[in-house]
Amino acid sequence: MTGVSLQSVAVGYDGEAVLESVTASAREGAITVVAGANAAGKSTLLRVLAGLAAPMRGTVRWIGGIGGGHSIEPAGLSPRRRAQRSAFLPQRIRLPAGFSVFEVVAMGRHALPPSRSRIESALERFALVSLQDRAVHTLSVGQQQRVGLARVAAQHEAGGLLILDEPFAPLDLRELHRAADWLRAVAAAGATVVLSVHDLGLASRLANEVWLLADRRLEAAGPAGEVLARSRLERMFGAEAIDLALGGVPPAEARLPEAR
Amino acid sequence: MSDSRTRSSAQRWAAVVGLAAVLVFAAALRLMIGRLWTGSGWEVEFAWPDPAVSAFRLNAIAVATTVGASLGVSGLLLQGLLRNPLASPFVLGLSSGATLGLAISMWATAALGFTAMTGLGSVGPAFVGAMATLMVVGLAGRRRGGLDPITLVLAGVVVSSVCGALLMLVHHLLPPGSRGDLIAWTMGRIDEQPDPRLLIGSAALLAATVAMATLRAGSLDVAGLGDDEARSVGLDLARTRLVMLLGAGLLAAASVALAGPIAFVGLVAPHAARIVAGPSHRQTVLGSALAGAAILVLADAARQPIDFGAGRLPVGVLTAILGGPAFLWLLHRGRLEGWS
Repeated sequence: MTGVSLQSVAVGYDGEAVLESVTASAREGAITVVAGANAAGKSTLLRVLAGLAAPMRGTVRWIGGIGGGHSIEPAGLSPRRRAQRSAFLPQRIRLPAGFSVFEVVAMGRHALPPSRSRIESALERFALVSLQDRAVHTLSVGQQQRVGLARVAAQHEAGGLLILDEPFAPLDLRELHRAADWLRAVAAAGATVVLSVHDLGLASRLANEVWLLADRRLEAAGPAGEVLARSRLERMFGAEAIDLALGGVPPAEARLPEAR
Repeated sequence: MSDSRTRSSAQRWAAVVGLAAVLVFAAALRLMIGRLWTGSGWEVEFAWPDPAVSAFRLNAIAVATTVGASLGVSGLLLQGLLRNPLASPFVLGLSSGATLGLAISMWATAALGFTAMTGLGSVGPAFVGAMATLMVVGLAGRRRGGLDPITLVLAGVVVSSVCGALLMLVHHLLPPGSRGDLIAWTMGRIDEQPDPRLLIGSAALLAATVAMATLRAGSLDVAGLGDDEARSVGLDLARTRLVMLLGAGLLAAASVALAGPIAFVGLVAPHAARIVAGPSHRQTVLGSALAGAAILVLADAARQPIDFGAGRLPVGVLTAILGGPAFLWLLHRGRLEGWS
């Protein structure tokens, strides 16, 4: 397979593991959603997957196109090489004060050949063309998140790895639709997409595959419909919470058609 | 930068040229303002001086330009890499650390007869002192795995005051004959007869740092993103931080060796540069150097007529008095600029 794979991985910080023995893989051309309660270790796992932190135990591998035709451990790559094969959006983005929207999106090309057309199409994709000369710190939170997404879009090369930590949280419905459309399109074009999503309903509609984290381990991994089965979610969160989140409709049935 | 539209590249470079013009104006002012002994007292004059006098004033301009520019660039690098609008060599205790390092070497020279640590050699102990304080402040300023702006500044204040106490101890230990030198120098002074090797060495260090930082402007800009974002777009953040913080420490040390601890300039010059020339390090490295130089040359010109009967007001006293309100203003303004 090509994509990313985790083999008996433990992640954590300050010497304490928040997740143990995770074995899973995310394949090329698919959207993999990491789901789980707050503090389940989603963000820490995504950082390790992106090569920004090393796992405490086990191995993370980028395989195939992402690995440059090889199977490599991302934490061992130079920042430059890593940036040419993957793009990462953290949960809480920080935009440097005073810079224009265009300049921040262009920072996505830091380790890549400059490309005005890539920057412009990223601005267009997230409806930022009319805002491109605005200073980023004067934008609303939702607009800033679109700038973060456009920066990642300008960086992402076809066939690369895309890792996003709760990218939809600050977005309104229209913006969310735009971002979800983009993710489906890049996955269809051969990217490996891994993202964490808080909203289980949204996760079930967007994901091809789901990793469900609970109790410091990987509770289940596989096709979204199977992993997010109502019986399992009710066991984990309680029936009332699932009714509230999913409106009484089983997530597998509420799924939208796949992107073409 | 409270306006929401950003400036074009041409406008930003024009602003840098404008800062250079302010420096030239400040230098002309410093060259022309002077005092003449009339026999009964000092009289302030404002005219082109004769060559014998202008040589001294040109020396002072060269020192103030080098020191002010070094402080401006040092402050810019500290503010950018620590993502802290309140950072400066003075606020973070680098200046007091460098001063203490130098005072200890003065004591070693006076008491033990070391002579290697004068002139250009004095940058060494100043640098050791500056980097030691930066390390202590950096360690003490960590919170939840990151550098917290306010904690960092508080750590700087504490470290500064400890350095101040140790400085008094060194002063106490010095032979009475050499105490006056130390006091005058810790007030911050622009020498009209500087050690030429120290001046040229510091100017060369400044030029090298400005060139290096301007060449790596793109990396310094990207370092303004969050840590993970900066690394994920391909920046070797740890190495960039290390190299640039060493540069900031060296510049702070050289400025202290030349002129003693000087407040205000390193804090305000980067903000002045960003306000007129925008946020990118392509312009602000040179812009901060020019703004810092202009501010210190202006301050040195402004103090010439100020005399309370004990000689001209030391330039460090003037900048320290201006430094307090400037800090409060930035504390307020920092939120408007979107730093945090």
